[in-house]
Amino acid sequence: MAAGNGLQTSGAVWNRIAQSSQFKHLIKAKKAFILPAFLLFAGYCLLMPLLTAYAPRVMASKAAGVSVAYGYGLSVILLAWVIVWLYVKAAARFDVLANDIVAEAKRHAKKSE
Amino acid sequence: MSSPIIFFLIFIALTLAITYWASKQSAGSAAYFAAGRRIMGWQNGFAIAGDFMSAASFLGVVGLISLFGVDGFVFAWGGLIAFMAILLVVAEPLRNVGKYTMADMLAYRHRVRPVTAMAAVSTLVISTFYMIVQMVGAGALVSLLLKNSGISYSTAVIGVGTLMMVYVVFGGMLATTWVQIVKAMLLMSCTVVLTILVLRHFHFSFAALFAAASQVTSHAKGQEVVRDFLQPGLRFRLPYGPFELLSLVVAFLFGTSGLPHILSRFYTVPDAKTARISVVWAMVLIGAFFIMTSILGLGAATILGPDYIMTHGGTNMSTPLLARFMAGDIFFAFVSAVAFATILAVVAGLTISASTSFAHDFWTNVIHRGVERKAGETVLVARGAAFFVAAASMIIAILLGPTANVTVLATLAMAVGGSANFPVIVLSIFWRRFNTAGALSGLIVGLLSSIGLILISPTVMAIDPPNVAGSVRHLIQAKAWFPLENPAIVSVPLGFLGAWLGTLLSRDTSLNAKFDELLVRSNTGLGAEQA
Repeated sequence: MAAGNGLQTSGAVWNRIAQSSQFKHLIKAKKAFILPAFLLFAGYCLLMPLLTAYAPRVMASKAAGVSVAYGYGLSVILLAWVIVWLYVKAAARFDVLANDIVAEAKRHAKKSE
Repeated sequence: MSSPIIFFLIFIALTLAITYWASKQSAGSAAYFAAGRRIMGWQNGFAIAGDFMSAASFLGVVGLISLFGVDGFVFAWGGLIAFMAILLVVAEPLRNVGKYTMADMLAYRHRVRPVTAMAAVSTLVISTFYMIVQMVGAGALVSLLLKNSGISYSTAVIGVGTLMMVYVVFGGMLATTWVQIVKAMLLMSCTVVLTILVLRHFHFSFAALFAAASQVTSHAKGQEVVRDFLQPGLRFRLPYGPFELLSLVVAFLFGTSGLPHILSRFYTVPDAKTARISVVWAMVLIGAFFIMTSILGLGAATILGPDYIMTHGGTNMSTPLLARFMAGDIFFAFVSAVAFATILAVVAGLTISASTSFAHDFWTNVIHRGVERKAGETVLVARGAAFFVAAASMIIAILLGPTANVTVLATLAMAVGGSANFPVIVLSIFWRRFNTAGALSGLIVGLLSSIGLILISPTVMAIDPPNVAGSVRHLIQAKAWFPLENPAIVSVPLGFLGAWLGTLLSRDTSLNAKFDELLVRSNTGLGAEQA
C-alpha cells in the first residue's frame, strides 16, 4: 500500500525505525501508561459485580442517603474522566516523541534519495 | 396532525437539507466513506456520542432504572466504560493504519483476502444485528408514541428505512456524520431540560430525590410492595445475578471497541491526535448523559411509579411519559420526535459502515484483489449495498414485529463485537507472533461462540405460559441450556483463546516481519492516510 506522505516504504525502513532507541522509548513510555491505566480501570469496573455478589451488605449500605451501589456507579464515571484527563496530558508527551521519529524518518528518506 | 409528527417533519426537513448539501460536496471514495477526513475533533466527538446514544440509551436505560433502580444504572455507566479501551488502545492505531474499515488494519500483517473476507462477514453480522434492534425499536415506539395518529408499526419501519437509505446513498459519510451531530445535540439538550425539570420537582434537593427513591411503591399480584431503588438486586437476582452482571461489564469493557459503526468514525478525522480528541469529547458527553439518565430513571420511578409505567407502555416509555408529566403534551411530542431522530441517525451510521465493509473490503479487496476496475466503482457498490441493507433490515424488522426492551438486545450485539472483533484488533496491534490463521480462528470462534451462546440463552430459550403469544414469545420453547442472557464472560475469552490457538497450531511465521511496520505505523502515524 502506498504511503500517504511520499516515504519509501520497504520493510527495511520499518525495521530500522522499529529498532531505533527513540521508537523503543516511545513504546516503553506508552506501555507504562496505557497498561496500568487500563488494568486499573477494568479492575475497578469488574470489582463492582464481585462486591455485589460477595459483599452485598457493603453495596447496600448508605452514606448521606445514597447507597454504595449508586455511588460506585458514579465513581466509575468520575474515575473514567480522571484517566481521560491524565491520558490527554501523557499523550501530548507521546506526540512529541512520535513527531521526532517522523521528522527523523523524513530526513533519512531525503538523504538516501 | 399531531405535534410529534410536526417536530419529526422539521427534523426530516433539516436532515434532508444536510443530505442535499453533503451530496454537492466533493466526490470520490475518501469523501463518500470518510467524509474527506476533514471532520473536526469536537464534531466527531458529538457524532460518536450520537452513534452510541441510541434509543437503547435514551429510552431503554431510563426505563431500566425506572423499574430496577440501581441495577439498571449498570447499563448507564457500563456504556461509558466501553470507551476506555477505545481511547487507550483502539482509536489512534486504527486511524493511523486504516483507510475505511477494521479489515484495512488486519490486512497489514495478515494474508489480505481470507482475513478481510472474514472481517467483513463479522462486520456485516454485527451491524445487521444491531440495525434490526434499532428498526424494531423504531417501529415499536411509533405504536406507543403516535398511538392516535394512524401510523402503524410497518409504516414507521418503512419510513425510517427509506430515510436512512436516502441519507446514506446520497449523502454518504458526510451527511451521516452531520445527521449524527444534530441528533446528539438535540438529545443532549432534551436530556438536560428534562433533568432540570425532575430536579425542580424535588426542589433541587438530591437528598429528597434519594429519599423518595429508597421507598418506591408498586404492586405485584395485587400486593403492595415498597422497595428501595438504590439497593442492588432488583434485576440481577441469585443464583446467576452476579455472573450476569459480570458478563455485562465484560461485554461493555470490550464490546464497543468491536462495533463497526463506532470504529468507522475514526477514519473521518484528519489524524490520530484528532481521533483521540474526539473520543475525549465523546466520553465527556456520554458520561454526563448517563449521569442525567440515572436522575431521569429515578425520577420516573418516584414521580410516575413503576405501576404507571407498566400500564402505559412499559420500560421504553419511561422517558416520554416523564416528559409529558413534567411539561405537558408539547414537550412529550418533542421528546418523542428526538427519540425517532436518535434511531434514524444510529441506523444511518450502521448502514454506512455495513455498506462500506461490503464494498471496500469484500467487493474491491477480496473479489477484485484491491483493484478498482473503474474509478468510483467502490462507491457505486457501496450505494447499492446500502440500498439492499436498508431493504433487508426493513423486511426483517417488519417480520419480527415490536418486541422486548431494546437495551438488552443492543448489549448482545456488543457481546458479539467484543468476542469476534476486539481480540483480533488487540492481538494484531500487540502480539508479534500473531498470524493469519490466528486472526481467522479468533474471528470465527468469537462470532460463533457469542451467537451460539445467545441462541441457547434465556433470551431465546424459555418456556412461556400459554397466554404469551406473538413476538414476545420465546423462539425456542425449552429450558435454556446456558444460564446467562449475556454471553460475553465466556465468549470474549473464547475469542482470545481461538486467536491464540489458531496462531500456535498453524506455526505460520511468514508475515511476522510485517509486525514492525504495523507497530511503527500505528504508533507514529508515518504513512497514514492524509486528509
